[in-house]
Amino acid sequence: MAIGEQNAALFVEDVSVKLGEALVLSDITFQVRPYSLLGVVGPNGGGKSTLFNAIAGILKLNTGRVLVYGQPPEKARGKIAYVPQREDVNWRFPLTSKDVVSLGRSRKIGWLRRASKTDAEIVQASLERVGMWEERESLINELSGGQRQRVFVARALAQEAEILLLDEAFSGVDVASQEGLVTVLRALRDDGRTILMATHDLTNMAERFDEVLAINHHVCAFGSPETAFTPEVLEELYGAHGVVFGNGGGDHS
Amino acid sequence: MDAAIGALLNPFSYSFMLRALIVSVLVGVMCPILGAYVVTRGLGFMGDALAHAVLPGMVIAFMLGISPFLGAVPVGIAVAVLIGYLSRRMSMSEDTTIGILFAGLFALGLVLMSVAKGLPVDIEDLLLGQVLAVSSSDVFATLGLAATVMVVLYAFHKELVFNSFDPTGAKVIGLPTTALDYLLLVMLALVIIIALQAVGIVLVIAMLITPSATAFLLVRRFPTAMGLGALIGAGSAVVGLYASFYMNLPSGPAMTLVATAVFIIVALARRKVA
Repeated sequence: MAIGEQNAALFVEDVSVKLGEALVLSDITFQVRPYSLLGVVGPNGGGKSTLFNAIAGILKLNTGRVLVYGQPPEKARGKIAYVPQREDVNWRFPLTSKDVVSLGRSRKIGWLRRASKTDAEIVQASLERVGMWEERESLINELSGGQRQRVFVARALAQEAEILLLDEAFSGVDVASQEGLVTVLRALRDDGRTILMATHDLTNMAERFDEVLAINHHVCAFGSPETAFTPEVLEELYGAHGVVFGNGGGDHS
Repeated sequence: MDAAIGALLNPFSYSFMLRALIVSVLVGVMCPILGAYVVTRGLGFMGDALAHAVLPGMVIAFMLGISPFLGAVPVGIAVAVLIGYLSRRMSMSEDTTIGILFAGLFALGLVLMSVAKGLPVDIEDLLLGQVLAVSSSDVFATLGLAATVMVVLYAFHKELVFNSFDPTGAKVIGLPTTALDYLLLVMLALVIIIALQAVGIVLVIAMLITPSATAFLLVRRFPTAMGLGALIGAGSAVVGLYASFYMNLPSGPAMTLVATAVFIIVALARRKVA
């Protein structure tokens, strides 16, 4: 089936974004099939977070357009959930796992109203889905990196989002927990969610993702993780030394 | 025993003392409730700045012979919005922007005060608080402002919490995060204005952060910390009020010392337990 602007989970066309004077994203075009797990890779500062912000519709585009299931992001609010980078969260704020997941219900509950029994059930089911119900009363800042990510994924589930954006979800997460997180995400994809995960880590790309988008301000490669990382692409992403690193870490077919 | 009860109750045969008690309790309760946000969001300097920056508003109100609240409330809200706006827009760091604005406005207040002779208020009372001097209209204004803040914080609790914990996530889900930031700053300004009567400009920061910080040493959940902070704050304010009455101290330093002592005791006790 051909993927076009109406049936793509995400349709991104000619997107350019300037932050101040810097052109952070330039002519980004790609489409994401529904129910796929997409890795967004590239160096730190290469525009991955900016791209996510553009997809989420919280950033003004200089050119181009983004469609979420055929709608502009502003009309698709609630369909997109965001799992923030570690640096973007105020860890001093004392919330339990359950509190964090409950935040995902905010929009469905609406202004000036309080959570109902149904909301509480959805929160419980979401925590159970990621295997964190046992830790529901633990403070989020006392959890390990991998557990925190699971709680945020549960928040996205509680939000009933169709598209999950995970920004640098592997940073501060040990390798074993990374695999656990990928297993959870794959199960969610099989349930009909579309998941984009940004990472600067090129380890095990083919085992982790259905497709990869490599960006360094512009699209360097897009497609299957087995074929996307040619030496030219790696050099564009990480410079000459990246080729060695990429071949060592990414070649496992 | 009777003497002790007498010492506690006798002051309230004076009506000024009853008014002072009401305002002290309200200040003690409201400051830590907002303080829970101040402590967890690192808004301490912002709070200190807001307290100093409302001085010109209060002085102008005194010059016009109207209630200092009528001067302080609009100035407080304007400064809160201005600080919020400038800290977003200026290329300087947020604390630099706040510092310039608050020092400038505070200086303007001091100059106005010095130019306008014969104001019915002592600079020392404004700076250090004099809760024994509150009028009955001050009591009503305090009640009204406290009720407003409570209603707003209760009504928008889940949105304010979301935005305080994860502003990007809140934005993506469609919450008006900028408006929520301004709302919190305006509530902070209102609470500071209430608190100025009891603890004065210089020590508002103490009531905002100390009882709340003490509460966070003892409990883990945010709403519980708000409640416990309010208890500690109210207790400190009332004990400080007695000290102010019996020892003829300015109420601000008295309340602050009590709150600080409670913090030190709790911090030491926790170290021993741990």
